[in-house]
Amino acid sequence: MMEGISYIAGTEVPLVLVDVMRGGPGLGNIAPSQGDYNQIVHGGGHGDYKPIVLAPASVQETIDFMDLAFDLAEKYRAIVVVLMDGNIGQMMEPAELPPMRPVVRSEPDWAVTGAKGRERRILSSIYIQPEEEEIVNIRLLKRWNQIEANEVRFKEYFVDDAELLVVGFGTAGRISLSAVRAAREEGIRVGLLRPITLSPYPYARIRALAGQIKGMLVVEMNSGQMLDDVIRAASGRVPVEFYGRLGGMVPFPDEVLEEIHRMAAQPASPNGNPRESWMKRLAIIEG
Amino acid sequence: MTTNAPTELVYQRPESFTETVTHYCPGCTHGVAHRLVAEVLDEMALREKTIGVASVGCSVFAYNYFSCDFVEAAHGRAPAMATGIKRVLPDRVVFTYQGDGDLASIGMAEIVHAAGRGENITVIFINNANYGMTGGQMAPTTLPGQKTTSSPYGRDVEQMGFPIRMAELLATLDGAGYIARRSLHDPKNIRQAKKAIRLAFEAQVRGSGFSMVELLSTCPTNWGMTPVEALRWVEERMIPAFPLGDYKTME
Repeated sequence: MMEGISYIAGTEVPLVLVDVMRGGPGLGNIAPSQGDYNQIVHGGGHGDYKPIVLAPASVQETIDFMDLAFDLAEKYRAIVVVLMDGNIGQMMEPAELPPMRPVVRSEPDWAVTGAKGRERRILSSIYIQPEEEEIVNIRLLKRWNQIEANEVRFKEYFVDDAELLVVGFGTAGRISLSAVRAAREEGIRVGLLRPITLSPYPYARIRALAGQIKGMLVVEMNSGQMLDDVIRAASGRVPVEFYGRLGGMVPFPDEVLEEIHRMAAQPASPNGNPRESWMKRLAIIEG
Repeated sequence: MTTNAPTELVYQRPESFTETVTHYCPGCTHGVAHRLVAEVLDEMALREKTIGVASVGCSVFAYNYFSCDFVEAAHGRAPAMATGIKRVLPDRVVFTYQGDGDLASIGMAEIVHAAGRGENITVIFINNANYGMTGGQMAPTTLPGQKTTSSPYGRDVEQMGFPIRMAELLATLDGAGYIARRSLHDPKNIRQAKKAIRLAFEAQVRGSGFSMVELLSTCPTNWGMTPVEALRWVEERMIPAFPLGDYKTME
């Protein structure tokens, strides 16, 4: 699959892809997971390219982002991955369908449709000469810079006066919101940032928030893959902590609330290793 | 000697062909196969509505030679790509041009299912009994006993299995409308190959389902033969193993 995605990136053909993440590696299971984050956001096929990645947290957002995904893919001749987990992929909940838009049949000036009354067109990703391939890579990079400047999306909840910030995407973000609301009722000044675009990532916004808060908690259904992006954004300004469940396990809001309690009582040092300290707490779960 | 006598044009570059210096080896029959496809596209006036799909192998640069639109597929995936193009643009003509390393090995699933689904595409399949571009390794079509760079003592069927006959295999599928095998080793067979290519494109235009022409071809460089020896080897060794004929025709 990744070979095909790489070819599409190299050929600069718009693509919308849906990845519903499940427990793995290997045959794993079909329970919800967020274990493909690095594969989709930072990895993938060979070569130097980046996809746009949208992370819905509800059926409604899945519907809404699908529309957006096609628009972005066509606008930038880019790959757009709608990255969700098995929870959202298998869930039923009320949602509103937006009014249907007519499909605008356009023929972009690169499309291969038969060379009638024009020069032939070739769609290929082969550039035998490295000098030519470098030019292609730079073109892709320039396009990516535009995407990064214009398409970063995220949702924030209770951040204005927040002293603690939870960061989570998709289902982990939605569960975290329940925990944040519960903590707010207890008077804890905690907010949530839920990235909508995992790529381009809201680094600048998280960096800005790092200046106003005392600590961050990253919640994921993996071993801390987005954690590395949050640490990068926080740039050592605030302590970053992590809480994750693995293998298809979904955290309860109470588990996240407990983490918020712990951080509110005693924030960790910015020099700590969030994954290591989480592993120690995870041992308690096992015991 | 008169200089103003009326002339009759008997041979020229097909309109569907570009003026490109060939990158194929001397004695390789890819050039012949390319030309036959271009002639058929011209004769059927299909150039402006045709989209070709190049594969991976020596013919990865097939699009350099044709003046129709072209796309380049990943190794073995040309029938999948052709499926997508044809389904989006059903009134266009879509063909793939694939070698045996591409079609019969990594692309086995794509070709079998495209034929099984009866995709209305045409496949030009070059069978030269080895992987040409990568240096003459054993392919699924390599003959028993045939020496290649990866079977230096000859293909030992006990260890390496038997050649796969794609035309026969695909002809078993109901989705296939026209399947034929021809050879490019002499003028008579080249003319018969062209007829088959024309029938294959006609099948697509009629909407008869999947069509494929397998062309027995030479690879003198990797076979370690002169062009003439290579042509003889096709006739004497390949044809008995890959019998020529029509394997599927529409009523």
